[in-house]
Amino acid sequence: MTTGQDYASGTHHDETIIVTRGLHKTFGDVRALQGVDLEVKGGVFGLVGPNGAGKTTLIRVLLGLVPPDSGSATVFGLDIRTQSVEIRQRTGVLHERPALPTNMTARRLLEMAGELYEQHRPPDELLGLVGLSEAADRKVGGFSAGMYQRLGIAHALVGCPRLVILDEPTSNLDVDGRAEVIELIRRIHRSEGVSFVISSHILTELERVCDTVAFLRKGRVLRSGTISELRGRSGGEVKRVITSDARALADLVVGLDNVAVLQVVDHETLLVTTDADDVEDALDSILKTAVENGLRVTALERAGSLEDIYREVMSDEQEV
Amino acid sequence: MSRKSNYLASLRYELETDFPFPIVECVVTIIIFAAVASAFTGALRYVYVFQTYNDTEYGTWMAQEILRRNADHTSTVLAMSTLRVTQVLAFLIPVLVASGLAKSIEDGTLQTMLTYPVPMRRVLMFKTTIPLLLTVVPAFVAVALTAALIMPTTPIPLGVIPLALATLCAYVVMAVGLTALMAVVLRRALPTALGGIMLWFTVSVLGESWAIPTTAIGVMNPVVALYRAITYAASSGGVGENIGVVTAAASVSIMSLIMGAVLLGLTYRLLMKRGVTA
Repeated sequence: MTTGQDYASGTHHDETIIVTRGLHKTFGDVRALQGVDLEVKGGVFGLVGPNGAGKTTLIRVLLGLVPPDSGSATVFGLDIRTQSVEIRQRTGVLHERPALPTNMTARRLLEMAGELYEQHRPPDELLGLVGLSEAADRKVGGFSAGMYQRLGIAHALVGCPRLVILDEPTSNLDVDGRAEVIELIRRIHRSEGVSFVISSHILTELERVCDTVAFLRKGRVLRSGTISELRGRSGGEVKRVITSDARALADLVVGLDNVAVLQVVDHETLLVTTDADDVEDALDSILKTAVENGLRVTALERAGSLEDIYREVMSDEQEV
Repeated sequence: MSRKSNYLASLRYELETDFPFPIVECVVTIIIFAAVASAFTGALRYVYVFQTYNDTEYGTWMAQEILRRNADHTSTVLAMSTLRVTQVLAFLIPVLVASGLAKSIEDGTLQTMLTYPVPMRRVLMFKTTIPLLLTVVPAFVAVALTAALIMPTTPIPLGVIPLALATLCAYVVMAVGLTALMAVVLRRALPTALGGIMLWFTVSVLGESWAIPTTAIGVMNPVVALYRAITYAASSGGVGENIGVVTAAASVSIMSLIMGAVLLGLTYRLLMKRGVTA
């Protein structure tokens, strides 16, 4: 048995972990993946997209649980079609709705799971890591949602993985539970160098923990990169304007100096960029134009969060 | 980690997660009960026929005739007992396959199992081999027990016991293969168990009816083919003299074995194609 301290499980940030080329997967009439091209380096990677975007299918394909119809992919340079067992030897997984055997204790589960790997961590060390030491001898079936999720993370770490894939790791948790899990991911990544791929809807959490993200929609990668790169693509200073009629205001401000309309996100939300040197004047111009034309502006704030980028990317796609 | 220890670890995991109750003891108890009941029925029939006709001249002749054809009679009783065992298995196999394979698809534990470095082929092999062994081994014991109980002093034509065991084994492979395919198609434990019980019980009941052609029912349950062939042989000059006919009829179990294997292959392909979740 190997302990977490002496097992060199970490990955380097410049090491390419996952490469996919033109992955396609269809289930009946549903085209779950439509040519996914992706390159993921070490670190914490976020997979973002609405329901049905193909995130879970992509994870299953990468683990060799579902074969792709076409295209290719490697994880740690190992082919997903022919070396899926080797990939799973190096990868821990927490599925969206994890199903752990409920008829045994947490310690016994981790013991048995560990025996399936070449190297594994002691159950007590893992339970301590996720704060479940006191529940080690309790049946898994009696765990609360938060405890179950933390046990799922411990379970994903049992084989000393270099990569851990978490599919919606906070979806069943309350606010405190979410914060705990995010903190746990950050701590494990920092202390042990384990890389993570996290699929989540909760963008504020991803923003706190991820180095890079990819946006998926309808089985395609719309955009990917580091969060700062994605912000940088917008250029200038990004502002979010909440108004009574975003489309009308967009038509009015599009001709102003120092202002460029980035996106009409929805009926009330408009994203604009302004020259970084001339922000105040640009904002004054927007407000003045709105007032002169009878439009109400209820908020004018700095944008550029992951959520903003997500909305922008998704509405770009809708317009396309 | 050696390949062998990974095999053992995954087998242990399968047994502890899929069958947390003392499944082996339960199955053995049921099969032995069935065997004893079946053997007891056969023995009673033998005693009844012997005693009824022993008091009259005609009865004495009949009793002597029965004694003369004792080997045929015990062969028939053994085949009937084996058929009774398959009726018990008609309940057990669907329940075991449903609680192993179908339940693990339904509750997601199959997906969890496949996050470990264990090939899907091996997981499916365990999920089908465990029910197969849990039924075929006690069933063999049951048939052997039947033979030991009802014919301690009676010679049986060479080949009847191996043929009974071979057809029984083929039946179990066929039943496990088809029920496993049902599990992957239905992806729910309860419909798989109920559907399987209905299917295999119907096959058992139809096997009792001579209106159904042997070749049709024999592929689904080759023990029926064996039973019918022994009954026919017993009334046409003796089982020993017609052992070739009996063997030829029992060879339908080769078809059952092949079909069972093909169905298991289809199950694997379907799991790969449709994924491992409900």
